[in-house]
Amino acid sequence: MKKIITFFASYGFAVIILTLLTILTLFGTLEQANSSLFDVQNKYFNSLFLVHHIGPIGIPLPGVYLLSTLLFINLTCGAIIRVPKEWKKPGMLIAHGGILYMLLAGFVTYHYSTSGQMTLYPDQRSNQYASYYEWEIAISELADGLYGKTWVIPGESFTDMRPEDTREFHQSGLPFDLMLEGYIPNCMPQPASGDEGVEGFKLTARGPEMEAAQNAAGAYAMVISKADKKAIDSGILWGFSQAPWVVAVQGTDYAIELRHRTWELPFTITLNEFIRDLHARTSMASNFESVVTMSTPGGAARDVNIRMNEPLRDSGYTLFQSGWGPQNAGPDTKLFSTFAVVNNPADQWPLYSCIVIAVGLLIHFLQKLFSYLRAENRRRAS
Amino acid sequence: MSIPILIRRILPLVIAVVLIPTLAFGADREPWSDEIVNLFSTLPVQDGGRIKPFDTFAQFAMLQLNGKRSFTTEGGERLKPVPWMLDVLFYPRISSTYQNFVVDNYDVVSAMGVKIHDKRRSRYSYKELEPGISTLMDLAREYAAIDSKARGLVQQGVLDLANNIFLYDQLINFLGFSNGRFTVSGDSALAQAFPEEDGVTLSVALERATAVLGELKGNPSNMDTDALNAVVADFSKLFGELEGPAMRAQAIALFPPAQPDTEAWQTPADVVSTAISGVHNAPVSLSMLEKLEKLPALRADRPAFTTALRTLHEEIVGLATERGEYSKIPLELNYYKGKYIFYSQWLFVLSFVLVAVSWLVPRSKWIHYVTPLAVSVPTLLLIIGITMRCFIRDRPPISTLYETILFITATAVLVSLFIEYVNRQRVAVAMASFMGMAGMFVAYRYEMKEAVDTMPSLGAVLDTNFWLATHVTIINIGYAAGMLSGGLAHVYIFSRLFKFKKEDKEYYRSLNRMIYGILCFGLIFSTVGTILGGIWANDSWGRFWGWDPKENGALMIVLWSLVILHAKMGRYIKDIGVSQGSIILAGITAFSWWGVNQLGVGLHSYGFTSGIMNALVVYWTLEVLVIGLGGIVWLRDRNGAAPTKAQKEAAAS
Repeated sequence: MKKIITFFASYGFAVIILTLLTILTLFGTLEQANSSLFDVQNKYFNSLFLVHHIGPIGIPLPGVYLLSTLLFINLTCGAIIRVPKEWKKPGMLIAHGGILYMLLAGFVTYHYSTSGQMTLYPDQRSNQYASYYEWEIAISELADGLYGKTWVIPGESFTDMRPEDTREFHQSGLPFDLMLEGYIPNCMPQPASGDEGVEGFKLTARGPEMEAAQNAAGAYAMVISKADKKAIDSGILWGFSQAPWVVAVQGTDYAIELRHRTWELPFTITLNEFIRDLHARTSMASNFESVVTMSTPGGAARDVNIRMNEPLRDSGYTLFQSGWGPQNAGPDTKLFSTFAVVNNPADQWPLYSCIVIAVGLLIHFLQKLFSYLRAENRRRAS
Repeated sequence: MSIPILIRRILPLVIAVVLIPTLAFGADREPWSDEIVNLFSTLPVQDGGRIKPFDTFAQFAMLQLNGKRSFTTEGGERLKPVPWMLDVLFYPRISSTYQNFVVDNYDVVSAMGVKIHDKRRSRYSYKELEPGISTLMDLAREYAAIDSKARGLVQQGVLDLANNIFLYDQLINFLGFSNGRFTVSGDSALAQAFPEEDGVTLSVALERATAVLGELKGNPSNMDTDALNAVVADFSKLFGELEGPAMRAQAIALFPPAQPDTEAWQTPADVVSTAISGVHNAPVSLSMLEKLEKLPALRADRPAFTTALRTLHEEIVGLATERGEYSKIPLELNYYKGKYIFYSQWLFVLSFVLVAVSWLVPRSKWIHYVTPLAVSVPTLLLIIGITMRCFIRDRPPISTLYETILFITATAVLVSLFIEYVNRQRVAVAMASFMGMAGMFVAYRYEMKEAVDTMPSLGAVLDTNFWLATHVTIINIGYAAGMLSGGLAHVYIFSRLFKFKKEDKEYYRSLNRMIYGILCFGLIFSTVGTILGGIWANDSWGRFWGWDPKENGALMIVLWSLVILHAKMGRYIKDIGVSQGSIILAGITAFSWWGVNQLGVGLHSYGFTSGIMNALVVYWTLEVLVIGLGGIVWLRDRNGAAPTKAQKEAAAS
């Protein structure tokens, strides 16, 4: 056991991990010139293993996720071995503790945070935010044009499908099952001829977009009666469609839509005004600002200004000013405001770890500096 | 005196004294007096979202077109930016013969169908380019549709030249409105305000038209429908006539608005459009327009021109001062006129020469006392320059890429001087002068290449002095350390390679301590700076870490510093390995500082640059060679350490 701990705590192991991390960061950075950040993150930084191609040659490499885990082990083992021996170097121990804390923050963020966006026009309100990349299928009862009970099919149960695959989804409480016939990660509905597609439209696959959030997923869907397993209706689900596909089953209307994964906030945001200031006589923005009212279910409400570098933090959620539109707006066009919404239990951990690391490094290198100055003085004296 | 003698002796004198200057300056052009130049230089204008001196505006316009800050006419007159700009504004015909359009590639000119000069990079006059301008604009429209990353050199050159022609065209037409005479015929209420047969100037026409408009708005019922229709038609015609010449006067916003809460300054075109849109111009706006309008007609009468300019200057400066927008103008003028950065650059060169001389005379004591002083002077100038920029902008030292160069250079030099103060090995001072010289050269080249104001307005995300002062400053200290450790590593490798001071172990020990110390110093700042960047990103963009290229560059510096330090602690590398690693670290720092900007992706779009990839590739290639030379030293060490065959035999016997 001691040998294993010694190996994992060794400088050699640390050097290998850090070198590989440097190389992977370089590869992942260069790759961004050709691929979307989302794809690069998944390939290099969120993976256990990957194959990097230099021309026709494929090089197998460990992913950053795996290397970060190994680095965590390296630091922990190092602490077990060195803390008793190196208490005279408190700075190094503190700094390494800070790095451990930061790696932990990364782990918690990766596994337990949610992030998405909320777009509002002035006077609109919402308590939901939608993922940039993840998809889900929502089936809602419709009554008098209003949404009632909603069933959700999570993205992980269908986004692995290939265009030629079919899969059936059963939801208790629904009088029908939903069958997906093929899933396309990025596609565009286009008029079809002959027997192609559904009701005169087909989905045409496209390559991945440079901005992964612009990928529009789609699938052919069929509603099948639970009672007699007969097809009731067929339709197209497309991520960017303006209206849901509405199906009538046993006298009830159901809205079926493929949408970005959606979460609810514990409060509601109403956009009162969006302000976009430009530097005089330029098209360069000097300020983006949303004046919002945040109201809780209990009825409490407060006005908040959300602007660049000044987000709204409440109940573990953070809302950032991230965008506006439409981009081609005229002087009298109403502008919408987009907020990035993040729920991250480790939100402020990097700040705390930064303070710990800075203090540790400072103590250590001040010790080093003083010993260097003493050595130089001795040398010059001799 | 006979006539032949008169011809022989007097005529050449007449030609020399009268005719040559006339030819040199053009038929109606004499040099601008210092007072005129000074009055124009100190005028405030609004450009790029900020108020700056006319002098700064002229400098960067000239730099954009001409590629440098001075221009010599065919007559031998050396024009600085403001006199050049005055020629462009007041003597368009003459300035159109100035060869001040720099073109890096004659294929661009060839594509326009214009006769090329012999040299690939050459300067052309507007007159020379004029026949091909229509073709140039067609090509520019076509090439603008191509993604900037996919554009070829000629395509980009066409776009650059088209931009420059557009700017020049705006400048030469800026005062064109002053020639116009406007009148309204007939007997409408408006026509009655224009009794002069030969018309009035634009400012007077505007003043009268807005006065009539005001009266009509006040008493609309005094007029029957026919009369109203007639006056509306006259207004429409007059405003149409005014709009044409005025709309070309958009290049310089030099009229401060009279309303305190209005941020945008006005161009002559703005004053006209305000009137046309039915809004009353403040009297002071019309007054400034009138004074500006008079100047072109007075250009040949310099005393009268100076007097008119003085009153215009007083009015503009007075209003700008009232608005609290003039206070930084004298400081900015002082910054550019003081040439702190320019002198710093050349004094660093001089100090490096002095360092080189000190190597030739190692026993001379005085030179070793003088050298640190020689490095300190340009360092002080550089620090003064950086400080002035902070005061001008009310910002921390770094908010643009250009300022990173100044700051990193100053930091690297100061750290080197501190090390020299501590160890007196005469290595760090040499490195200080070299880093200073190299850094200032890069700053100069960058400013020349970009040719845009180096103190621009900042985008919304950068509008935070707290993060600029913390994250940006700290991370750039880390960059400085990365470059400095790489520089000292070169000294180590070359010293070892050429066996310089090979018996002096203390020299090498000291050099190693310097490299190691700076690596540690850099690691603190890079680590804290990188994490602070993440915390800023968490406040701005909603995530601590997004694997953005700029963030990754900073992370790579931290990771590689850790690799070197851990490899040294684990004794996997020795001194030569640390030096090789430090050179790689400098290469990574260059990648993070400049290389990632070339990718053109990510959220740090305010740092994008282009066209320096070749320089970076040359730099990295040379560094690979130096690392290879380090490998030779390492091999030599290894072979020297291992006993030779003869030694083994001797030992055996």
